[in-house]
Amino acid sequence: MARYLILAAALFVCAFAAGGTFRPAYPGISEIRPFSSSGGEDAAFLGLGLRKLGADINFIRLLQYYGSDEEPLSSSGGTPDVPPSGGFGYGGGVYSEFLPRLKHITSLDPYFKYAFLYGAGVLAFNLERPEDALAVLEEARRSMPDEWQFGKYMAAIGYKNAREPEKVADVLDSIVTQPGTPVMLKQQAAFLNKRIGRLKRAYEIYSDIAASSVEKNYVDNARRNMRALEKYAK
Amino acid sequence: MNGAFSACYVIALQSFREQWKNRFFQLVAAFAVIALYFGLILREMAGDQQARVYAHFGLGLCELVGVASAIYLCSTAVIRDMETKNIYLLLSRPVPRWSYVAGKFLGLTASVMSAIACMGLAHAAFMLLRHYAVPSYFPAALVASCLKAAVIGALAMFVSLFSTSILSSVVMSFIFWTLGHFLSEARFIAHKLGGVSGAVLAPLLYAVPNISLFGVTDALDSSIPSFAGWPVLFGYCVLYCGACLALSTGLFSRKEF
Repeated sequence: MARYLILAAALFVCAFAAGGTFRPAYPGISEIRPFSSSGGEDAAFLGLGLRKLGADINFIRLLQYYGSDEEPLSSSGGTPDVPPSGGFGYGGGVYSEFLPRLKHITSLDPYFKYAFLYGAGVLAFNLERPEDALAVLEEARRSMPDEWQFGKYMAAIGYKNAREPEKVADVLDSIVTQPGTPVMLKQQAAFLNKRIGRLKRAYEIYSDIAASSVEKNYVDNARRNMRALEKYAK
Repeated sequence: MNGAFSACYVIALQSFREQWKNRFFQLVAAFAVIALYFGLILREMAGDQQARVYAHFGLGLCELVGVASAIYLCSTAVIRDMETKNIYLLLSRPVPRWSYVAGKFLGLTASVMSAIACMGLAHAAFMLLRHYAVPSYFPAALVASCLKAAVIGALAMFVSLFSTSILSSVVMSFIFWTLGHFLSEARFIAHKLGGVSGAVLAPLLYAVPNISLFGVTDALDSSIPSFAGWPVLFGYCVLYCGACLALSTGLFSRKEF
């Protein structure tokens, strides 16, 4: 028995020296920003090594939350409702849980680029909360300093605050050509181009949405706009 | 010595075949159905992130099924052989105890790894059928899941030899597995505890496997690379499994048959 113990101890020491002190580049369990009472669920995801799946599932919940009816004004402390600016009648309103839910997701997976882009887009362009959107993008830049889209996105929000729709459209144009851009942003870029009279470009972006998105609402809206803008296509 | 290695090989081969005859094909088929079914649900729910969600879901399921199988199979390996009296037949021949332990472990681990590979193939096929791009880290994540299953399987085999029942052995192995994802936090807590509790806990934590080392999906699917490298992963796996098997052999050699 003694020789096996000695052998095991030697092997344990070597194993520890090889990889025992490794720590992944992700926040630990104590650094996760829980949403509501998600602490137990977060611990389960992390304990089973399913951090990214946890972020994905919470992202689906965020989509469902944002897709549900907005809160009545009384529950949001009488904050005046904001008219939708997405261009086709939904997306605006008061969604007080949107930011805490987004922060929860991005603390689970701080490299979830789509969640950052989508969340900042909703906050800036649909919910009229540009300060929150900028804070989200600042956090994204800390996690992914090499991703240039976040800087561009911040510039677009700045131009939006300065009420310069042409410049917003220019900046968004450089973002929406990249793969993996949220369809909501493409929708915003197309709408802005249409509003400032760049109808050919608007048609092109709507065509891209119709061809690449799997979300029925966006595709239907894109097709409707394509029909209206058909004569400007060439 | 050659005889001992050949006995180890025969036991491993027999163990591998036995698992495939028993339950592994059913498990793989069940996985295929579940993956297909969930794929249909996720298609409706995940918006533009279908491919990402489906990839993470499938890889997670492969790993969970693989690790759970490794824990169960390795926890019950010796007990099952004792119940079926196979162990008496085996050990009545000139088979060294270490050959039996290592052979059993290698056979079971190989069957778990082959199941993970089959599940991974099924998952990749579903992704391609749905026209989703298979992520570049997909094969690496499957290999890492196999290594994870091997490490936790070796630990489960060791635990099963001193625990009082299969249930306690499975539960303890499961605790070690989950603790392996929080090692840095656990060590920090042990350090902060101080006193006798800290002094007892700290060295014990050095024996818990650092499972986060094998989180290849997390490491490669991020902007800041935190992958330890394959030599480290394979080296750690071999050394840790070797340590657990040495302890298992030590305990097993004290048993009388």
